[in-house]
Amino acid sequence: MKTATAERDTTTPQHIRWFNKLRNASIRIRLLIAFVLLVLIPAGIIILSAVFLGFQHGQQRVINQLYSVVILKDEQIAAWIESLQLHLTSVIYPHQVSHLVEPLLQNSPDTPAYQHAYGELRIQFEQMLATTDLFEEVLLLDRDGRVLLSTRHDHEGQVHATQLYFWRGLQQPSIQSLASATSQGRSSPVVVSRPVYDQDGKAHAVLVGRASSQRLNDIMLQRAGLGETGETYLVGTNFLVLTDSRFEDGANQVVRLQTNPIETVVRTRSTRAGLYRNYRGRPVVGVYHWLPALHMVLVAEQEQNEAFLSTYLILIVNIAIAVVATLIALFAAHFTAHSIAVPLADLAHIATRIADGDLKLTVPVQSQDEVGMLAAAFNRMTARLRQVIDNLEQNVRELQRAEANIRRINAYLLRDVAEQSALNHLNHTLQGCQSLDEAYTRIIPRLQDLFVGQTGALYRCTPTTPRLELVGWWRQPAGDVLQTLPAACPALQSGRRFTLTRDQHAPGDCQTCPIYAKRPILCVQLQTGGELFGLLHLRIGRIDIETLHNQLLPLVIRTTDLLALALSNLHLREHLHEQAIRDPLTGLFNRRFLYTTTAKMIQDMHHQHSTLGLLLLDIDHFKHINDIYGHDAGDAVLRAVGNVLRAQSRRDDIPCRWGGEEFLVILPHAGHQDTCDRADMLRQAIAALKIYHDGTVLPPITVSIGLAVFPDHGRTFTALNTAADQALYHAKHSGRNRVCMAGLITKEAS
Amino acid sequence: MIILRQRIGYWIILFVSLNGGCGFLPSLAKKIEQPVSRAPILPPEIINNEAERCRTVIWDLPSGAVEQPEQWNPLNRHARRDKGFHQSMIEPLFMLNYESGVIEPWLAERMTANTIQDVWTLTLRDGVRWSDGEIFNADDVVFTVNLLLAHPDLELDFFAGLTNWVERVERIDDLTVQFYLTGPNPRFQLDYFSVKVWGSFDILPEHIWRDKDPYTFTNYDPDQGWPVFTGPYTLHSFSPTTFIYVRNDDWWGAQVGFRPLPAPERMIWTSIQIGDDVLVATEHLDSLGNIPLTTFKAVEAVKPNVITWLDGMPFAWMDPCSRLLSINTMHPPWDHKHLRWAVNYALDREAIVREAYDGTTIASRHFFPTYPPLEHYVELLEQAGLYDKYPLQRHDPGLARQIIEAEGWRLSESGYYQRGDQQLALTIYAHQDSHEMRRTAELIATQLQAVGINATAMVLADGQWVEHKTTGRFEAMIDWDACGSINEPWAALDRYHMRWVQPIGTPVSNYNNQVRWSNPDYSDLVDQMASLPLGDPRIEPLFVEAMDIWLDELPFIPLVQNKQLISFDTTYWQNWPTATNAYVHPPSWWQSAHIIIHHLEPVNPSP
Repeated sequence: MKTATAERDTTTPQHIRWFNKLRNASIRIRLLIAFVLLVLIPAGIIILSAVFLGFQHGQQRVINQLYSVVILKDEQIAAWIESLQLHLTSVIYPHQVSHLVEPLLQNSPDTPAYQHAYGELRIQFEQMLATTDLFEEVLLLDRDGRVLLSTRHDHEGQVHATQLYFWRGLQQPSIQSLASATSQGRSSPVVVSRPVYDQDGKAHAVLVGRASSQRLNDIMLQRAGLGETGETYLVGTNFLVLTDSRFEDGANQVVRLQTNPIETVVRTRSTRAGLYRNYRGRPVVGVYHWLPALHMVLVAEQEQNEAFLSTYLILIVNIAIAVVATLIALFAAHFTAHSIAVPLADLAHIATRIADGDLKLTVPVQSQDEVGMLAAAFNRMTARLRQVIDNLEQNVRELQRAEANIRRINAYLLRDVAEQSALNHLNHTLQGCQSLDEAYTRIIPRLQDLFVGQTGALYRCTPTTPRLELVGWWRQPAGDVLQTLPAACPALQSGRRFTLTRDQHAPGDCQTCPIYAKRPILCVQLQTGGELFGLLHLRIGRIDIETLHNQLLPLVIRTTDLLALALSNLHLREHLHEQAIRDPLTGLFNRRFLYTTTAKMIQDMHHQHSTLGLLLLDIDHFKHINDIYGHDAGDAVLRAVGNVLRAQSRRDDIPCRWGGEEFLVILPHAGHQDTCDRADMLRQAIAALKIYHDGTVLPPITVSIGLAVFPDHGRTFTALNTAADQALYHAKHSGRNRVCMAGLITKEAS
Repeated sequence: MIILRQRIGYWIILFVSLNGGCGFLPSLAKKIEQPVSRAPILPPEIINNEAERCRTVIWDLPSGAVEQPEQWNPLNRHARRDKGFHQSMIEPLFMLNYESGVIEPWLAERMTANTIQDVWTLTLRDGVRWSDGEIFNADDVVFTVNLLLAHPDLELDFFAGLTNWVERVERIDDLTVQFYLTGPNPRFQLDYFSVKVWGSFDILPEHIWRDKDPYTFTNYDPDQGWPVFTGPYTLHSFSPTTFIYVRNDDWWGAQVGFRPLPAPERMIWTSIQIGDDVLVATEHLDSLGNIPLTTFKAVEAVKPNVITWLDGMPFAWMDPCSRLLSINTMHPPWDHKHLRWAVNYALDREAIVREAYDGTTIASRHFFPTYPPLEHYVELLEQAGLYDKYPLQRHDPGLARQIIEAEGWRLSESGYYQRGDQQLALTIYAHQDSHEMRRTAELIATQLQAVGINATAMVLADGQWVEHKTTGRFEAMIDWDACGSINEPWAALDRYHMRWVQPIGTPVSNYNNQVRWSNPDYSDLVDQMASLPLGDPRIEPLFVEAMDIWLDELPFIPLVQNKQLISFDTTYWQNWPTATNAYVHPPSWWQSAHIIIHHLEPVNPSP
């Protein structure tokens, strides 16, 4: 049981086991848990919702602040771009194009006009750079995109033909982020360009200004109320940080910022906000804002620790209050549970001991509350329980005695029923038997069923000897069973229904009985109407004398009575049957028997494709014997012939007195020759008879025999009989004392 | 008229790509498999002498040891250029700076076209001299171009097509050359005379080459001071693994005020092998080519002064050649565009980024590199709603199965689709020297198998890879052959013009359209774009229309961007190109490294 429980425990999920443990825990524990849950769940919900809502509110407040900063920076950038365009416009005034730009486009560099224009224009470019501090380079491109003049001399001759700002600059003033114009670097962030028109209004050069990143850096580095950890910077579409960081120098700065929000912003050209780790790996709250003019993302962010500091403080205070309140509630819960659970635990302890049998115990009543009332009621209930239990115990003892009697009676009844059933079975078996032999064959198994645990044997009387012959035995070795019982056996003596031997009191003759073998024997005669039919012999196992006399002996008597009656009936039936089919003079079968058996016999021969011989035998001159020597002498002749026929018959042959001095013999499986030979042998045996009557020897007699064979001479008994009769007739007329086959053979007397 | 326009040195792209230029170093890849690191062979009098070391810059030779180190003929295919040859000696006429986006003149001053752009005039910079003191002038340019016109088979892949475009070339004066083209070409200067990826057309000194057989001349004779070029360095000595150059203090650029003399007095390019001990292999290097992230982490651990383009993940600079899954559109059943789209939907690009590239790159939404100028064009596609119509980056195996089943394929007991007796199978070739592309092919095969396509990844050695790729004997390949556009879309689009298509078995030229995709409408739009100047806004609608066709047919599938994790050591030299100091792009084995060399500054100037 323990193993099964352990196995069940291991197969039960952990949480179910915990739940079961909890369910079976003491009231004190469960009360405590219930109080704790009642306190902690609401407190937890309140704290979590406060944290969640607090964070939501705090985050939204910070994001709103960041949005404000982004809008401010966006406006500053827009103003800066406007300033770039304005100053680029002013670097070459329209009226200067003809004498400052066109000479560069139309003359070779070694011409004075070119050099003059180049010098003048360079001065203007450099002055603009020096006075505005807005650009780091200003360039003049021809229509092929080649740099005609640059404030960086080493850039002259470079070709910008692949750049959008050049192509757009040929059309109209434009601005482009270099982050979208170069491949992967962190270059000067912005380029502005504008066309330089000739007098016909046709753009024949492009003025390009590469903006100084310093101003953009300045805009981004302005604190703008983002605290000690906040900053703003620009990120290109290649995800490189394009402006300086407040916290890192250029040499060490990790310049790539590729987060999911910024990828979305770059892809969708939108504005997003969220929590993430920034390029320094710090957790921040930030706003990404797409700048369509620059194709850059403006990032404003602040470390979460600082941004949410006030939120954190409020939350901490709220949580502390909630924790203190929770602790107080827990202490109160503990004391309440204690005051309820301890008296209950005492009551449970006493109740457990009472349940174990100690009904003299009483529960102390400590208070007048529900628990005290429960204890007093419990004590009253215990007293009543004691009285009820005493009464019950008395009743139980009486019931137990009655039950024992009932069981014993039931056992008797059951045994009687079983015995009666076995006897009925035996009776039914005997009723179904058609002959004594069959009865004796079927009796033994029934006796074995009837006398369970006993060994035994059954003997029968024989008409020929005074001894009893063994019919059968059960449950004992064949060597221990006598085949016959001598007439001197004490059990066969008349006036002695049964003989019982026991170890010390067995009759003297029984002591020498070969089957005694030191075990008690019960031998019971089978008799009815004073006639002995047999003996039932039992070897009794270990059984007390009372059982023997009260149970076994009555059963044996009833059994032997039943057997004797049934065997007597069968014996009588067999005797009557013999009388019906036998001729009383000769003891041979009579004509009735033949009529009832030959039809089936012929049918069997037919099915077996065999033959059957029929002899019709008639004593020659029998009338003469009757007439001379009297009917008694005739009867003696008939008995003598009958004896010959019976003696000469094989097992399956059927000799029969057909009527008067005629006899008929059926020879199954006999063909022509066999029938002839057998008939002739009978003829000779009869002819050799010496028949005595009244002290004299009667004259020898002869017989004539007609033969017929199935199927050659007929397929029915009547046909065969007729054929044989005709053959007999032929034998008679041929001189008698001969055998004559129907229609064919006549064997003369030798 | 079909004109063979071979825009970029794709052979060299291939070479460079496989050797570190576009993603990895086969030599390093092999070395990674080797357990032992091999130290470079460097002069001890330099590496053991602090003063000399401060005057020297040591670069790695990304593509390994040089088989014919004595070959200095730049027209010879065995003359390795990345051994410092074109970084320090051969100077270009122009250079496209990826970072500033402008074409920087170098030996030339300018190149201008007539109105219809079929006559281009090249003006050389005055004062340029060869390293032997001879003047560099228009005669050298005309001589070199005519030499090439006389021997067009000498045309190298990174300026392939030049001889088809040039009808004749004329010397106008000492500094002026005029090119008469076979047709208008607004990109003539950019494509043939400007360094883009790898290198550009080289001008040869006529006074040396005049009577030489260009096929046999090695251009190497130390007694005569050969090889002679215009660069600020001359050859000092070499071995198959190490090449040493010394500064020519008479370099023309310093004398004419083009640029000051570069600070390094000596340049060394050397081959290394990174194995179990990265310090042994990389200790003396100032520059280390593209390496895997794990190798870089190991290098960073032992060389604290190492810097990269970005100083945090993904560290790398994006290469202009993104990676593709090219599908042979002549090979049934993959000639059906729906099946190619099914393959696309079956792909999980993020898994490729994560597992093949260690997260150092990003998934592609176009075959362009994610350079901002090109992103502008990709955004046009978004604005036009093409990515809603063709969700290229969508990973949807269920949809892939639906498409395949709609084509009449049924899933068999083997777990793969079958139609009649034919099983839906796809063999994906990858170059054996690329760990990343091999891994990509394996991942894609697994992803395709998951949707019922019996895909297998197969590795090919370089020779086989080129043969299968050019002749079209493949079903699918991992490659980068949409490479070409840097700041405008036409160059990459033109590579899939139907004019390049050849029957299977006939090699395509210059790896153009090896997927053999023929679409007249697309090709017509590309031709219209070709007739417009660079950056012309009229290109934009044409591009969107062409991409609509391309996305519908999807002849090849963009996979991921390609990263270049190049590192520099700031112990001795500083002012290397980084994202915060992006004066030029960082590949140190391209000819654009000239700009890097001129920007280098010693950390501790020697007395």
